[in-house]
Amino acid sequence: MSQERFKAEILPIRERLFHIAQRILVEEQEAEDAVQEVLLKLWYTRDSLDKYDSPAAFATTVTKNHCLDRLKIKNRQDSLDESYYSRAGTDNPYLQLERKNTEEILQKIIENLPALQQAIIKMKDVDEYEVEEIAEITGTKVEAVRVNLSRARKKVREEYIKLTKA
Amino acid sequence: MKIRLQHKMKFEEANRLIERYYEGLTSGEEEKKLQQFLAQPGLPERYEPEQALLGYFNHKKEKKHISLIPYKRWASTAAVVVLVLVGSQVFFIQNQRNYAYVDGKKITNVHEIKSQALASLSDIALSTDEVEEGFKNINDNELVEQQLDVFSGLEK
Repeated sequence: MSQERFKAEILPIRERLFHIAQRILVEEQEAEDAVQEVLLKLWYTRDSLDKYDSPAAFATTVTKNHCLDRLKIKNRQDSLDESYYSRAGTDNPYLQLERKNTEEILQKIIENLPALQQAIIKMKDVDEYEVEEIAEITGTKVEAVRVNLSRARKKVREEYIKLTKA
Repeated sequence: MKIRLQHKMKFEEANRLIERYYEGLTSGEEEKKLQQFLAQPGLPERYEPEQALLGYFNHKKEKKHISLIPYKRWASTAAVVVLVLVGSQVFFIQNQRNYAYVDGKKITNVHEIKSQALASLSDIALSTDEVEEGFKNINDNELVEQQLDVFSGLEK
């Protein structure tokens, strides 16, 4: 699927995808993040979208599954969070990382970012998209992308310093 | 400590870019400049997190570029060069006399020149998928026809 077709066929159903996401995830901001993640996912696989009779229907299915996965992860995390952070001492996976090299540390930190921030930082800093392009693909405001990018970069810096200078 | 920065970024500018980088305001171009600044040896310790972070991303970008530019890219570039050479050669020859050299042999027959040019074009086109892809938009025949238009006057 070409860039133009993606914009013509997928972006117009953004609103519908958002409603699906909100029905599953309830919270508005979470639904918004989920939709952006789905759109980025679809963007990266746009070459294979032509396979489907209705790319729009496919996008709907992807959104539904993505939100259900998110919900599952969220429920699991809620119950794990406490035990994870209370883990002290040398078996903390974060502390073990200290001994490893910079690249592995940064990779791990980035993998632990919220999914949307992760996708955006990779698009900007590795795949060399500009913020404006990401906004166009996700059908969001440039400012929203910038804020997520900024949060991601600041978080990576903060975690990196925490892990290496401790 | 004084660091020589010939034609390179001053610390103030680097600091400003770093600040903008964390606000998500830098363009790809500015990030490239910042990365160049950070890649210098002997920078103060305070730049270490940025050196690590931008260095990491730069490494990822390089890896991506390397995997994206295998020989196919070179093959298509070579094909274009050959195409231009064939075209200009035919043109050049026309300017002098109505014959062409193919593999060192002098050919004066327009049809034979045409078929030789076509054959060499399809050789190129068949070399890789990507090149074939690129050629979809160009009708070989038409192209050669165009280049050889100059001969048609002579033929008649």
